[in-house]
Amino acid sequence: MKIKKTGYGWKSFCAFMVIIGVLVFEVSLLGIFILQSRDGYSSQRSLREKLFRDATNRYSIAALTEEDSVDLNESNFHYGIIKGVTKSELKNQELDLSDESIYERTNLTKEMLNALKTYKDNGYSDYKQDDHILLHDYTYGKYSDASSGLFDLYWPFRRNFSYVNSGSELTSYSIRCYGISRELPGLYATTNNENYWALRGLCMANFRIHNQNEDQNYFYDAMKYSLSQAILQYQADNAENSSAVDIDLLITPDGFTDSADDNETTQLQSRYTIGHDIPGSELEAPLVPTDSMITYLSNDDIDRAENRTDMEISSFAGDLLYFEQADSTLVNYTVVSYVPAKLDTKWDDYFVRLDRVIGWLAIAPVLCPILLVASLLSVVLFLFQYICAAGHHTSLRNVNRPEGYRTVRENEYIEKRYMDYMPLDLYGIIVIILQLMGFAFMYSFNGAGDPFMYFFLIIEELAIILLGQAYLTSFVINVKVGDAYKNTLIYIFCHWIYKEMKQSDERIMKKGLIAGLQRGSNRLLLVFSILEFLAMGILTSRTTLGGWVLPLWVAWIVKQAILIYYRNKYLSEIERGFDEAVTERLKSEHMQTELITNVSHDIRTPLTSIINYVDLLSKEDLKNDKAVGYIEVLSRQSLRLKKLITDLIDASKASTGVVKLHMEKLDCGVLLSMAAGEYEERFQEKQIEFHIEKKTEKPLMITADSRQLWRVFDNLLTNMVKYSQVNTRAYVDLVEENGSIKVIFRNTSAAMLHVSAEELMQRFVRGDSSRSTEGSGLGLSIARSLTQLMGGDFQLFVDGDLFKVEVAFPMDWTIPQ
Amino acid sequence: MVRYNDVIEKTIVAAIFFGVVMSKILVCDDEKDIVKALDIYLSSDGYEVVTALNGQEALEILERESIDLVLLDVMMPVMDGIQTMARIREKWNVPVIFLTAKAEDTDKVLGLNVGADDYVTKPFNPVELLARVKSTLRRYLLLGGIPSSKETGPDEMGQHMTYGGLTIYDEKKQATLDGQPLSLTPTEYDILKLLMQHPGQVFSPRQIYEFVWQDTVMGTDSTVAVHIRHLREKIEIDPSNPRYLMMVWGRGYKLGE
Repeated sequence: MKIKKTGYGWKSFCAFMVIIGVLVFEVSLLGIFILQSRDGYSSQRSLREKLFRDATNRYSIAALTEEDSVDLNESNFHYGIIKGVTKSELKNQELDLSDESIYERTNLTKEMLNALKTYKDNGYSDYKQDDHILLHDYTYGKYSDASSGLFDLYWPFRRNFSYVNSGSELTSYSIRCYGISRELPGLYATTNNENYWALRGLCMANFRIHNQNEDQNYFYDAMKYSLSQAILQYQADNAENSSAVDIDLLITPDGFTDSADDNETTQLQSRYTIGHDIPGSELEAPLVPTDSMITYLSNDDIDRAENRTDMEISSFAGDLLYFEQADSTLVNYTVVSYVPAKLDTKWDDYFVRLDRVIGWLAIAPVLCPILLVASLLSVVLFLFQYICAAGHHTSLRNVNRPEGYRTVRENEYIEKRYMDYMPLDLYGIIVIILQLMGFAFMYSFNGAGDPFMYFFLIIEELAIILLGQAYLTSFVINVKVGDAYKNTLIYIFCHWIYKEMKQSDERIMKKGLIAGLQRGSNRLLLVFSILEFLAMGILTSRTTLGGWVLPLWVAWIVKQAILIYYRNKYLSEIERGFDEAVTERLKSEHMQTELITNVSHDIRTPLTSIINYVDLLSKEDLKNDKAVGYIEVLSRQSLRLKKLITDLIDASKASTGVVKLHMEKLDCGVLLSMAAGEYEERFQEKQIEFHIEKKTEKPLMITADSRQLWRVFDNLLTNMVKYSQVNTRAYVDLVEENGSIKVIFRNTSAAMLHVSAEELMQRFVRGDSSRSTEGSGLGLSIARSLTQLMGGDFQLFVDGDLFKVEVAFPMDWTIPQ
Repeated sequence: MVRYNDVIEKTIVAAIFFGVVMSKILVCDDEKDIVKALDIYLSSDGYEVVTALNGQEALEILERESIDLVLLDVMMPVMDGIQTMARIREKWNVPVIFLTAKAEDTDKVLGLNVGADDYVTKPFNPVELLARVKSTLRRYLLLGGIPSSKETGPDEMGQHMTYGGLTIYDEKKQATLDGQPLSLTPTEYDILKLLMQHPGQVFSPRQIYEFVWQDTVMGTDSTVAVHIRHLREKIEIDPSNPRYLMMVWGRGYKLGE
């Protein structure tokens, strides 16, 4: 089965399916988990019961408070409010619920009222009824509820009067002052008439602080208690308490305003004193550190406080659930809530929605495992597909980066995208950090079921999965290109160290000296010094070394100094030795050049005479046929000698590197075609079919010396002409392989090649072991030397009669003009 | 009306063409054998030969006689070829061909920079050497000096363009080298014309193809190279060492330096 590997559409589709699959998998897993923990498996009915109970409670409050945001006339919620009784009182009194007159407000229908009669007759039992009937009771009074909850229905802390479920634990505290502890930032203490309590947090709500003496409602307490006394009191109270904390500082309100009447003030204004020198206290408290939390008593004063420049303001939400009631104003209410079994779906209210969700939840026990398995399978399938497909393309986008792709076969490549070049370990760490941050952010969400929150959570989860997917893709592509281990910071760093050490070692090893106390180049030394410095810094700051810190640093500095000194000493010695070697080498090279030129000149001069006179001889009219024959031999051999000398000089120059190369960028194909043009007729004379083929789409630019490369091609083509079998074909192919341009010369040899490839390359060895044909035997040797001199690669293959030469040069990737 | 100058010029041209006028050539080399051989070659071709064994002698001869061409060796005792060349150029404009075993590029460049008109390495092909001598003499006598850059202008053969010894006449689609007509195919003529219009500029095979055949080239085609080779064989004395049609390996072809 062939796996489809290419096509952006397909790859995106697979990725998409994987992401969705993982999401569904997680959701279904979560679903199963929830169902397990909630015993939702037991009964759909009981779940409905529970949820409806919570809902009706909230709706009852809304009815009581005549909440604007909930329009009870357009919902399935029906109610009746009975004033003055609690639930138990109602049952004791056996009130007739079907009597409409007992209700202060109601929207119960006639049928409902009748049904309520049955309900009451059944002993106010709300089980086994299809309609959902429930009694809720509340106490109405003056409360300050500092509870917070973004999605709560109450909002009582805006008002002076509010409803609280009857029977709730009510505790009352009068708050006198509060303090900040420096040891445990965020912990506050408040008094309860004389005791200090630790608070979990403080809400930015209106506080009702009661004056101990007067039962009046003020917003702020004029601090009557002496501070020092309060502290002493606290400390005394908490002497045995292990969690007692020292109070460094107290914030006290200086004044207050009466909420009811802004004009009437009994004190000057609301402001706070923060800091030291609190009058009357023996406490010398420092300024509040900026990272601890400061609270304010007022909401109104926030703006003014925010304008202060000498303190940091931080807001927070806590859950201070302390209520306070004024007994005289308590009123009890009981709300009869009625939700009919047959919900009117015309109103898309909470109950209808709840019913819908419960309906879904019914199938959840069945659906979740199915989804789980299905999503798991699809994830596995598509993930496999995706991994197989990742990175495959039919054509390369960026030909100029050969290290970033791998050719699988023709028209199929694996290419790295720009993001895949990022070092994998760094990338992995970043992804993990981001994912952890995402998780943390998700856990900090503790809303109570708002759909917006779920939507947000899903988005976040998608983001996390996406991050993981992106990293997986990069990783897989890197592995496929073969780059994975190389594309890590660790490898890059180690490789750099290795190269630096190797580089400096080579220089030193050339002289046969062992380096000084430390190997490595200057850069390496610097990097290691920095690392040591950092390590020292961390070491000395973390552990408690006390008096050893300074000596350690001094010791390290001394060690570095010694190291550098000895290293310089050795290096200068090496430098000197190296310079000597270089001058010697230059001298010998100079001598060699001299030798070559002088010898060549000295040989050429007599040779000229020989050639000239042989030529003149040949022009003479000789009657002696034998003499004519001898002259022919002389002529041929002297010309051969001339060629031999030229080749010998060239070979020796090429192999010793005396040739001066002028490297430039050139088009290999153009050069080849120019050279081929020269030889076309010669090939035709021997009836050899000559073909040049360009087998790659890549540009053929390489860096070489044009003249020398021409000589290489000239030699190889000459060989082809000279040694090919008549009536055969000869090929020159231009291919691209691993970022190099290869020119492959192939021909069928006329003579049997008794010798192996290596032997052929030797100087003066020619395929025809009788050495009777023209040629000096140096052609291949010269070609190889020149190629290697220019940084190319020269390979010779002999297979039966096939003679193949491969000349390869690295591609020149700079943009051609 | 007969134009006197025309007649004289034509006579001279004819004479030179037929080698009737005896050009005097000075051969200077420390190797007696070579000098003798050269003497034989040049004499058999109709030139008058004077010999010298070192630079000093050469200068003396130049003072005394009127020489039309000098064949000069580089490695000589007393005064070497380079020095001699410098001295010659101080006084005379006579064409000089270096003939030497020093075959390195640096040597060639040095020689040509010092003022030589040509450079032939030993061992040489006698035929080639004779052709060079003839060509240099023709060029010198016809144009009166070292080949200069292109000139255009009408003469009795019509509008023409010249570079060194090469001339093309566009109306007649003909080309001459040192006065001697060349038989070029139309393609060869077109290529030559393109190169002559921009001397010194490198044209890639692709560009030449597109200009001459008015078509785009497919793949690696050696058509242009083949035509250039034919052209070179017709124009150059030694096609392997061209003086006019230069090959810039890996880039293309150009005319001249």
